[in-house]
Amino acid sequence: MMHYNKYPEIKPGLKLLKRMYVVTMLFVFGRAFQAVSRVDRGAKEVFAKMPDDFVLDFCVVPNGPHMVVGKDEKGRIKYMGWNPAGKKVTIYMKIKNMDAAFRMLTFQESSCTATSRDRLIVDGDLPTACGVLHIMDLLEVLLLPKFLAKLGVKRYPKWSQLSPVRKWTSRLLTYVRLVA
Amino acid sequence: MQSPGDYGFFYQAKIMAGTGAMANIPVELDGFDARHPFVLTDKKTSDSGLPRKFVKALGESNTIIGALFDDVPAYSSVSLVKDLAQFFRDRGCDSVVAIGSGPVVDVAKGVNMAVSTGADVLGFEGVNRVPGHLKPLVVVPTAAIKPFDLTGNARIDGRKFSSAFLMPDVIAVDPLMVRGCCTECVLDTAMVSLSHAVEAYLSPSANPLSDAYASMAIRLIAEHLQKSLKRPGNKAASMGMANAAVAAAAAFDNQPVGVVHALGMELSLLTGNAPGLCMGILLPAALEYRRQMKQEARSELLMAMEGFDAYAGTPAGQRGEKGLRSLQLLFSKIAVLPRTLEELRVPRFKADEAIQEALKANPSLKKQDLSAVMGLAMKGVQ
Repeated sequence: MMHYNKYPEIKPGLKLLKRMYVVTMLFVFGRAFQAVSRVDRGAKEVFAKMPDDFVLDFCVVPNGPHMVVGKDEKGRIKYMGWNPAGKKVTIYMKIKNMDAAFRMLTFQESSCTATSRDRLIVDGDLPTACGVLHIMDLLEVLLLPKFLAKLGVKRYPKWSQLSPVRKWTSRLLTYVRLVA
Repeated sequence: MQSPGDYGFFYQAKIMAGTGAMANIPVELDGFDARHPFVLTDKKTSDSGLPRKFVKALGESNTIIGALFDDVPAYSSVSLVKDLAQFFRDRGCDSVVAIGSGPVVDVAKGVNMAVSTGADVLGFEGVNRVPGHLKPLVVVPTAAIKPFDLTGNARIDGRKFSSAFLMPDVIAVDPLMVRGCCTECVLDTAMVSLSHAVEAYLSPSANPLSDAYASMAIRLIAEHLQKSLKRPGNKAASMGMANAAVAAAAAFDNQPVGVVHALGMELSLLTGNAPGLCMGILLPAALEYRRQMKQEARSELLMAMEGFDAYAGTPAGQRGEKGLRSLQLLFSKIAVLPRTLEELRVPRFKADEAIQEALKANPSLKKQDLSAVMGLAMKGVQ
């Protein structure tokens, strides 16, 4: 006779510190998405190509956190908070687990590397998803010092691709809008 | 390159390898609509703390482990499978996870057959007797994983079960789990993987896809074996060996059983020696037998063993021979591997019994080949 009590059900625990960090980073990124769409020429071009009903849910499966970003009625990019309920999401970008999200958002792995290592699931339009990753790379370049941003992006942009004037102007304005 | 000809290839498992591989298991199970796995492992693995790492990796998911049964014995039995199947049902589980190798995976496959079909597992003994798809089976290999654990074969109570439906659905090779515990364990796994890969590569029915997996396995073993033996806990070397086992499994599962596997498994069962040790002695003997029978070696073996530069720098007619020499050199460098079955204290009558059993289990093999290889392995290859 097998003693069932010896082998109880196990509910794997939470990863609170990682969750708190990821929540914070997604909040910062969400606000930064909105900010950069107003101040940077390159970002404006990328967002302009996205459909009018664009609503992105960037999240960690299965229990979040979420970052919802989308276009409002005027076609402007807006951070729509952490709750996707009631929003018409057109594209989901799901990170498969909290560890992968933490690794990605601590820049141990760039978003491109994370994608190539099968840590992201995209549910929606692929060109739009590529655009989102492009903006994420741009945000990392603008928000982070070079030595950190280099870890997070596929290729750190050269002067010819992102002039120092544009970089510093966009950086300053993004930060101002982020904290304002 | 020659025309690939006509062939079939099947390996259904989704393989996830690398940092955080285990943390992806809930997402993969979710794809099968499963969130309540029944986890099996053995005492040795449990004592080493690996199941704790597994549970931790599943944190923040919706998965609830129905039970973590860590008492799978070294000999898998039908009665245990029946008890565990009842336990599985009582806990309302929906999938099976095996952490470990050998009997753990065999029992997991047995439980899966029982709970998925509701029938007695003994009814599925033999080849292709499993009637259809089973519940999701996830295998988390440890350092002791063998390629045949990752195929559609299982051995419970000495009975053989073989079906494509027994293959794992997901294999998660995580560096946290595959770091070797000792040299013997690494050697055992490496020799089994190498034997399966080489036999699949030199099989007359080899096809381009089985070749790809086999050559990857051989290359990984050639690159990582020495380091892994010297430092069993080395992360890169351990991952190399574990990936080699997975690749060898895919190749092995698509080729007929070879002499080395057939004899090695029977010898291991009859003498209690690790299958890797037996196969590590039998493989050089089988290669020598091939040479004596003037069977040509595949020239691509050199590419797998030494890489493209050595392959390109060797005249076409000498590549096969050089590939075999390179393989024999690899064996000669393994100081801890016995050279003959006599060194392993295998008596002649056990060797003869192993030949009989191997013939019984694999009627397509020739007694003459088995006897010749066993004879060479008893005395050793010079």
